[in-house]
Parts: sequence; structure tokens; C-alpha cells
Amino acid sequence: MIEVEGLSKTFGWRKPVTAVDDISFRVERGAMHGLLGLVNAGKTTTMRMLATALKPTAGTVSIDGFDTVGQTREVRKKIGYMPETTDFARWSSGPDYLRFWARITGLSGSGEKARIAELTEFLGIAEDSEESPATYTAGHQKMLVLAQALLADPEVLLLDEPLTGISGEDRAFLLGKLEELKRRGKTMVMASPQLSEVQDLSDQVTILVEGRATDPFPTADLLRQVGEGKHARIFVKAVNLSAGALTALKGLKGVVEVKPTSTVTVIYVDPGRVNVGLVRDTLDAEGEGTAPVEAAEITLGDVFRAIVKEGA
Amino acid sequence: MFARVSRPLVGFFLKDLKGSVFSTRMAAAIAFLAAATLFLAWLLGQAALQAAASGADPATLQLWQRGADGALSTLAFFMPVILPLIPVVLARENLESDASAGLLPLALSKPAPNQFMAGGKVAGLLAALAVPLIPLSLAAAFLIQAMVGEAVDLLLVAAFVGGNLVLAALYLLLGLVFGTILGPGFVGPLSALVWLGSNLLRTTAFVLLAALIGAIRLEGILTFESAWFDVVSFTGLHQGITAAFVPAHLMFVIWPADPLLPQVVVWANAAWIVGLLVLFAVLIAKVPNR
Repeated sequence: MIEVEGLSKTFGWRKPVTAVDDISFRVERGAMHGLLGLVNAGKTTTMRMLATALKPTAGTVSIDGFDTVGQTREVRKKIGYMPETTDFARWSSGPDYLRFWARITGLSGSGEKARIAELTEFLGIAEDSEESPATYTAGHQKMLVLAQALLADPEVLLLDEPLTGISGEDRAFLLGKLEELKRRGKTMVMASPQLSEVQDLSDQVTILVEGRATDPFPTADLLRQVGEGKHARIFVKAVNLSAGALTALKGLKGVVEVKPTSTVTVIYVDPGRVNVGLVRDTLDAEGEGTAPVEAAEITLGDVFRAIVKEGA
Repeated sequence: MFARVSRPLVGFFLKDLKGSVFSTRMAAAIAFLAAATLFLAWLLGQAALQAAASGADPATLQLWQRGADGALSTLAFFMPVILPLIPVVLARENLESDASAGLLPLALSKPAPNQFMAGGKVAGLLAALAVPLIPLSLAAAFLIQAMVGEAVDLLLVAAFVGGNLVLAALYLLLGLVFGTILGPGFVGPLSALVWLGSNLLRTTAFVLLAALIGAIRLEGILTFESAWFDVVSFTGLHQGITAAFVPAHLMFVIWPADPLLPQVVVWANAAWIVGLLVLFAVLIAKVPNR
């Protein structure tokens, strides 16, 4: 079980930057927790603190009752960490890369070979073995890094954007393997910038935006939070809407904010309560019916805004 | 238990040895050092050869004119000027490569103790330095021997090779420590400052001080500066360790009256190496927190 309590991390001392600000969540044994966030949301910093590679500025993380700061060695025996990015230029082959990490993990020489063969087979990269991993497809590179995380058969897997940058068959294959690992009872934390990835695999989700986080909630609530099939931002392609139109839009139930910019007017809405049709009807009633109205895709920011507002 | 301790050490040793041996920048630095060392050896061999042909009284000759041993002792004096390039390039390249591979955060998530990872890394890099340095040092000694036509004292050759390795280790560790604290980009500039302090500033200060207090003769047969009390500059450490093996008639430092003083240099070298290694092992865990 993983317990994260009030976790914060600040870098720098002259101009301190808070990368992670007071995050708390709990992951039950055998469950997967999604950390959803865009670039610079604080996902990697959080993952590194969970992986004991970074010391928190405040707060605690415990894994199976062991504190990541005070009982580092015990925690490290329980975790497998898959970082987001790796440069493979220095490795002559996939097994060469895995042999290095097997040594650092402390696997015995005899167990190393069998484990590497088993993992490359499981993750479908056995046939690449003699190639330099720098020439692997992005998907196979991800499999190789996942194999590294699995070397010591850890109870807990910390996966930093395991599916980012891969698509098609590789993506489906890796998703399948992560599901299989979950079925095998691995406890997992997965950071991702994609709603769909987290939605497919996680039991619980925490959304991160610029280091701040929502309270964790069940993934099943994610769609309810944003409103399935609805849109959270609506653009009115008109620069100078009349004061009456702006007031009418602001007065709609479910409109969070109306923000005129230099090119469009952006309407932030509570998903499920306001849609394009309602906005169009309101503009028609105010004599602005010619302004084109479009809905944007749901973004993490929309989800975050919706959730924060609901919690307020 | 043994595997948990020894295998991370072996892992880093092999990775850093292989990664360094096949580096292009290292190859260029080694080529430069080889050219400079062999050229200096050739010049010194020429000087010894000409002095021998002149039939002058050996007692009136400068150190580098006194046969093959004298030429090699003089070459040892110049090594701290040209040798640091290789370990500094290696330290920078290694830290840059680790940073771009995101290696440290991942390594720190493994149960292996940091000091064994640091030890394996330093051992691997030292081995990578020894691969070109030992043959190059031997080649320079035997070039002098071949030119002058007389055998070089084997103990002196061993001291020359060993001193070069110690000097390389000192600069390597210094580079690793600087680079770990401030980032790989600072390895070059900060090492250059130490290099300047250890060579130009140290020599200037010594000559000025010696002239003021009359500690050494600055006329007549050239006697290089004393290294026995100089346990701060890496040049002093290198000269001190080499001087202990130089035959008395070729002594290029002032031999200390106290017979314990040469041991101070040996211990000072060891203290510097161990101190920097421990510091590096401690700093490794701090890198991602920077």
C-alpha cells in the first residue's frame, strides 16, 4: 500500500520554485492510481519522490509502511521505477542495457540471464535483442524501460508516462501488458498527460495542474466530472460581443466564466449543463446570432476547473 | 548480500569503462596528450643527447641534460601541465552522458548503496584513463631511452607511470565533484582554475617566495621547486610522489632533511583521493534535488 501525505517539493534557494504542492493520496495493494497532468504539472517530480530519487521538501511517502526518506533501502527493494525518458545511445543492445540495470538492482549473475530472457519475451522485444536500443521503435524502447523496472519483480510499479509517444499496435500491446501486471497483483502509480490512458487503467485519479492537485477520486467519476459527450470550453468567434450578450452568457446556469480575448470570446462552462446549442440560442436572443460558435475538446484544465469548482 | 554490494560496483565499472574508451572527445584529448608528451620526450632526449656529445662535466649540466634519467625526471615535471586535460574531459563527458540518459534518478531508485555506485563509476573511469596513460607514459620513457641510448632507471619509470595515474585520478575526482555540485558545464572552467593555481600561480609564488627568503639557489644548476610541503596543489603532490623515486644525483626537488616528509606527500595524495571520492559518493544522491 502507498500513502502520500502532504507531499511538496521546492527546487532552488535564491528563487525557489514549487514543483509539487501538498499532494495526498493513497493506493491500496493491487490497485492502480493515475496521476493526470500536462507538462510541468509536477508528475515526474512526484514520481521521483515516490521512487526515493528525490527528497520531499515537506510531507511523507510510505510504501508498505516504509518511509521513503528514513527507510530508503527497504522501499527500494519493493519498487520498480520506469522513468519517462531515457537516452539509449550508450547501450550496444537491449540485453546490454538490462544487464547493467540487473547488476545495479543486485540480481545474481545466474538469475540475471534467465530473468532478462523472460522479460524480453513477455514484453515482445526478444527479437530486437542484438540491435542497439537507440534504433528500437518508440514502443519497444518503452517496453525495454518497463523490463528494467520489472527486473527484481517488484511489488510496486512507478510508471512515468509509459504510453507517451507510442501509438498503434505497440500502444495496445503495452496497455495489455500493464493490465496483465495489474491482474498479477502489482500496485501501480502511473503518471500520464492523457485522459484516456488513465481512464482505461486506473482505479483512482489525482489531477495535477502546476504542482497543485485535486483530491483523489475514483476513475469512474472522471466522466461524470467532465460530462460525457459535452464540452467544457466554448468559443464564440466574435471580438466585440455586446454588453447585453456578455451579461446574458454570464447569467446562464453552468457558465463559470466569460473571457473575451483579442480574437475570440471563451466561455468556460460546467460540463453537462451548458452546450453549444444553448450558447447559440442565447446569442440569437441578444442579436448576435451571426457569431460562429464552436466547442473545444475537453482538456485537463477543463477537468481540473470542473473538479475544483465542484469541490469548492 | 555479496552480489547486492559487488554487482552495482561491477555494473558501473563496466559501463563507464566502455562508455569512455569509445568516446570521440576522449580520443581527441588522448591524441593531443600523446602528441604533446612524445614531442616533449623527444625534445628532452635531444637535449640529453647533445649534452652527452659535448663532453661537458655532468655536474655543470641542467637536469634535463643529465642522461635518460634526467630527461625523464624533467618530463615528469611537465606532466601536470599537459595531463589534466584527459581526466577533465572524461569527467565532463561522463556526467553529461549520465544526465542526458536520466541515469541518476533511476539508479537512486535501486537498492544498491550510493557509495558502491560512486566507487564503481570512479574505478571504471580510472581504468579508462589507465588504458591510454600507461602505454603513453611507457612510450615516452622508452623514446627517451632509445634516443639517449642508455637505460632508464626502472623505479623511476614506475614512479613516472604511477605519478601520472595519481595525478589523473585527482583531476578526475575534482571534475566529478565540481560537475556533480554545479553541473557538467562547470567541470572545465573550475578545473582550469585549479590547473592555473596548481601550475602557474604555484610556481610564481614559489619562485618569488624562494627569492625573498633565499630558500633555494636560483642560479647555477637548476633545481626545481620543493614539493614536500605542497600538499594543496596537485602539481606539488605529483612532483612529491615522483621525486621520492628519483636518484639522488638527479633530484629535482630539495630533498627534505626530515625523512618522514616524503611520506607526508604519499598520505596527502591518498587523503585527497579518498576525500574527493567520499564527497562524490555523498553528492551523487543530492544531484536530482538540485
